[in-house]
Amino acid sequence: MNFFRSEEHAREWWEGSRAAGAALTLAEAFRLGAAIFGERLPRLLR
Amino acid sequence: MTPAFPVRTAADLMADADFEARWKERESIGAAARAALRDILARFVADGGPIEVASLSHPAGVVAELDARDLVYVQDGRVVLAYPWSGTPTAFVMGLSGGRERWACCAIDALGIAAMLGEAVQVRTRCHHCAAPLRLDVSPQGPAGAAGVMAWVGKREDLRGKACTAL
Repeated sequence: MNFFRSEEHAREWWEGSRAAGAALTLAEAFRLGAAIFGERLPRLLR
Repeated sequence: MTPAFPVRTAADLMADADFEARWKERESIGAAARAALRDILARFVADGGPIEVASLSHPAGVVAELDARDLVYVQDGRVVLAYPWSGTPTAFVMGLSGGRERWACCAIDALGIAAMLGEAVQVRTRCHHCAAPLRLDVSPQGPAGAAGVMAWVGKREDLRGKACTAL
């Protein structure tokens, strides 16, 4: 759950760590965060 | 064969069965727990955290229900995080209106806060690979600039108790 300045840096980090998970572009990461905290969480709070 | 660098979309991750199951479970909390969570989240925005459970006008059992559903994390009688907020310093410093600063639990939480609050925010963080500082301006409609920045979404076992969480 971290940021990388570029895909190149994300890739280099992953090649050294082989961490489980996936990379998202900033736009896609925003879509995910907005869906969770702008839609699902408010729905849960109603 | 060398595995390919995994790049996914938000839709890919939200289509995951575990993601949906986790949210269905969370949505099963009762009215008292919902009210408590509303108050806890409002306190994190207004005052920051951690929050003493005893200072809340909700029974401790209700807060324990939120903890059990992984909506908050209680440690030593204090709510130390309530997603997306952390009451202790993290690598994701949020600049809110009025000069307020808060901490987000993780990258995705940080990016979701603008949509949650309905206001523009700034995220100050660092590249997880080279530690270069990054500043992201995020409005409820999306991030501005910062072309090329990427986020990594890890697995749940990496996270809880380390000031970050799963989706």
